[in-house]
Amino acid sequence: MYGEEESDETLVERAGHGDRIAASLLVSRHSDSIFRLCRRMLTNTTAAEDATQETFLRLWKSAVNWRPHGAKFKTWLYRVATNVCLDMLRRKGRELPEDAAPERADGSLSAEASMVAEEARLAVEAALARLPERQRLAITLCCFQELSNTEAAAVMELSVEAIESLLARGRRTLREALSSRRDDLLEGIRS
Amino acid sequence: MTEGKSSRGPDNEAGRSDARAPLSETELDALLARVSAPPASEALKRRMLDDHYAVAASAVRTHPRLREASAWSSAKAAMHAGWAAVVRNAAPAGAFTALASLGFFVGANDNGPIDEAAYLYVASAFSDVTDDVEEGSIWAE
Repeated sequence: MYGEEESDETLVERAGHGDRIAASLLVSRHSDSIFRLCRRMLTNTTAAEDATQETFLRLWKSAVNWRPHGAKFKTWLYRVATNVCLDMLRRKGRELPEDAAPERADGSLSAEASMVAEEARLAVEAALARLPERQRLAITLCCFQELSNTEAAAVMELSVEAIESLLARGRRTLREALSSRRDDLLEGIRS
Repeated sequence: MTEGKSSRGPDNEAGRSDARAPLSETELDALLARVSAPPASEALKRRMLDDHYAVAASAVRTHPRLREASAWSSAKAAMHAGWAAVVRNAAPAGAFTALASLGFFVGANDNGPIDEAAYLYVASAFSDVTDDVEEGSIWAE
């Protein structure tokens, strides 16, 4: 048997041969991060679930004849997820509605503070959603998914310099876009 | 934060900030840190594993070794039934045994051999239920 110490590549190969345990381990290891990536790109939970499921469906289909092609598995999976998200964004344009309701209440905050914090979250998500796709993706990968610039460059198939440029432009746009509500937003952080 | 981030500008150290000035890099980082996203739901994870079953079953159905086997036509129906049962989590060991009783996992039958590689290929898809089935009863030499 095998377990947590097994490499992703080995698990993919075994999942490709119908091994349910290997597939379960891959889902356990990567589904949360892929879902979060899709959720942040698509700003809609239902669409993010569809995109995550589609990403793993492509994984299962590729696993049958899995070849690493030189890329780390995680990089390959992120690349698939980003392509799925970009396809959905282009197909549905800006029609994807943003989630309106808070996903979780923070029990440590008062009702008013929770509302202020939630408004701050929605404002930042809305500003992120207005960024050009590639800037949003670069910020999502580096700021939220905690990929290094080098890893993000591999996912987006760009140079590190291009990633740094996208990050700088995206962050500048966000700083400017959010400045008109800075006191309200920062109040949400302090509360 | 990660390596190679753009250089950060100085924070506004005044008590109440200028609403027209862009946020500082630190303020932006603090706001971004509040944009949490939940983990994948258990229902979504189950759907993804169901997809795995479906893809694996499809791969088995089109596996060249099995296509060549003349027993394929009868085995195909059993495979459909077996996989459907497993996906529904309905008596998986029973489904496995049912396939065995139809001769699917038998090394040789009247119509020709289904070789060991094919057996192993299919059995790996059922790796979670094989412990429930005594191998000797399904693997007739």
